[in-house]
Amino acid sequence: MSKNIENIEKLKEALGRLENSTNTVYFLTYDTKNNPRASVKYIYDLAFVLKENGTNSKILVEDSTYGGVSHWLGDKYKDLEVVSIKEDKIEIKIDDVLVVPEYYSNILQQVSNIKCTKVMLVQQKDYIFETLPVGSRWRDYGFDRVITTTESSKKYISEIFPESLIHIIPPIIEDNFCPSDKTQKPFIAISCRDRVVHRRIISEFYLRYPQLRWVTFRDMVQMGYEEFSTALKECFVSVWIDDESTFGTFPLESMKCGVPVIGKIPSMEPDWLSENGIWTYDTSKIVELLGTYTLAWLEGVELTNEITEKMSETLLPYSKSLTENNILSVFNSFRNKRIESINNALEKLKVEETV
Amino acid sequence: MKKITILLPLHKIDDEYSVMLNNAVNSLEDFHNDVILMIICPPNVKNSLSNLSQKLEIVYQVNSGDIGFCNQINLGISKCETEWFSILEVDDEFRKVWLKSMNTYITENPDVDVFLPVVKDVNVEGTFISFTNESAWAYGFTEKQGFIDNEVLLDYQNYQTSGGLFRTNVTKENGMFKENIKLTFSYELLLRLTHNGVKIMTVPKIGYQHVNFREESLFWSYKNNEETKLSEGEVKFWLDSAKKEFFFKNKRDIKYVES
Repeated sequence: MSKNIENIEKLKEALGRLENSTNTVYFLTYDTKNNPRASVKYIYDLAFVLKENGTNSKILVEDSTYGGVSHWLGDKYKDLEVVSIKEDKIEIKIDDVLVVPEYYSNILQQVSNIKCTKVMLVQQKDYIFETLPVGSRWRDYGFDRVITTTESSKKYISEIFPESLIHIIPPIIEDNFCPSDKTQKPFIAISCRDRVVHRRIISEFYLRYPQLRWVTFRDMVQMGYEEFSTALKECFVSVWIDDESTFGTFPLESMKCGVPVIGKIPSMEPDWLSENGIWTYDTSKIVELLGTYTLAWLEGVELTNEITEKMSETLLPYSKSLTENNILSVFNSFRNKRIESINNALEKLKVEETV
Repeated sequence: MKKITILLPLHKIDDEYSVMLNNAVNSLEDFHNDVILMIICPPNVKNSLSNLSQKLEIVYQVNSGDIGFCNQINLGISKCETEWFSILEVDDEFRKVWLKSMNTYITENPDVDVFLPVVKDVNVEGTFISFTNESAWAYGFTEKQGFIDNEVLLDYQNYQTSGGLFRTNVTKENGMFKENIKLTFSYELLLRLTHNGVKIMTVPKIGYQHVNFREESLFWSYKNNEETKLSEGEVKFWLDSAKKEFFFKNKRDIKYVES
């Protein structure tokens, strides 16, 4: 059999797999060592939605020491197959899709020869250049598609990598984030990326408002997902300070629980930012805002309808069904594009064969 | 049918008391659909009171006996026919959130028989001094956040019963205030209720404003009135007595003797 005929057969097989949805979408994932990480949940959600809708999706990890996510995400994702690069010796085919998070930019060279559809996944723009060789572009390694979470992140990426085709898929804000059927308690949910800031906010609050020392701060880290949502919905307010955040899942989860947010606007303003919370550019104002809000809450002052409505409006684009449709649509576009390119290649090979 | 009686003990009336009384009654007006105001007072005081409110249902319980605070309240409780009662001191006031927050907590916690609000203590000028009852919500302070238990009460005495919502029949069953206990009668009642398994919780809303140490008030007199002032030894005696007497439903003969 000539090389061309062999290639034609291979392409036809690939086409068949794409048409039967038996190709595989691999999501490269790192081991959180049982620590909850929204970025990894996001990856699992993409894989899960695809699998639920008939696509063969797998979690790709470095080796068999991978700890999984059941410890903090429960059993929801237990049917997602996890394969390891080292032990499973997987063969990524031309019809497969490989999704690589930005923090794995150091492996781009190693996968540059794989001819599948390659997608960069950018949740944290600050990580893009951490391991990407200086001056190199994703396209140099065959990555010409990008998934990111926000419009502003897309804008940033398109300025740096204008050749990339960028899709926006926001995280899924799950339905276990819902208002509590009980009254809120004098608990403040706090989520700060910087632990020094976290400690300062709490200390300063208790020093400036000693009469409120009985109000409890709930540190929203190191919690399983279910525990996290249960703890969040009990709080009467949440505090969010995360300058490096690209999307800002925590405030949306908080809003979905009906818990208003007092927050520092991150350096990259989230797409959803509006008068849907109590926002400031100045971290030093947070404690004063929190103290004022706490005293008002204790007096029974309720949020204005305007803020409550804004909170609900903010969540509309992030409904589970919309995001799921979005995921399917983006991955379908990858599939269609690949079918088209394989068909083109087939046509070319057939012409060559007949000449 | 109204389900809450507000007991307001009044032992005298003059210009100053009229102003305080009007203020106290005004603080109840928003609750007129849900509460009955019961003013417990001697006959001469009752005769001086009129047109206190256009909105509130007011009943008077004439007290021809002892007009001490505990006696007045106990008389009110014994005549109370609603499911719940609360106490409003004449120089204090309810805050707007009181009824709504109490109603919410009653619904959510059907096994709780006493709900205390967070009390805002102010001086006579209305300046904030401190909160009371709030410590139930401090992390790790009690066994269950929001609840006050007997063990905690044995170590911490500073709880305010005025403004609290008490289930009437439960309070009657467990005995009312012991009027022969000076200073710590509220504390003894809370100790007794918790000892008997009554669940007490603090509603985390500022539902009541209490004027601390108004001149001539009962607690002011314990500290400042030459005739009724309590010595350090007597304060300790009444604290210790509360911790001994809560085992008993009814008052027993106790008397402080200066050593």
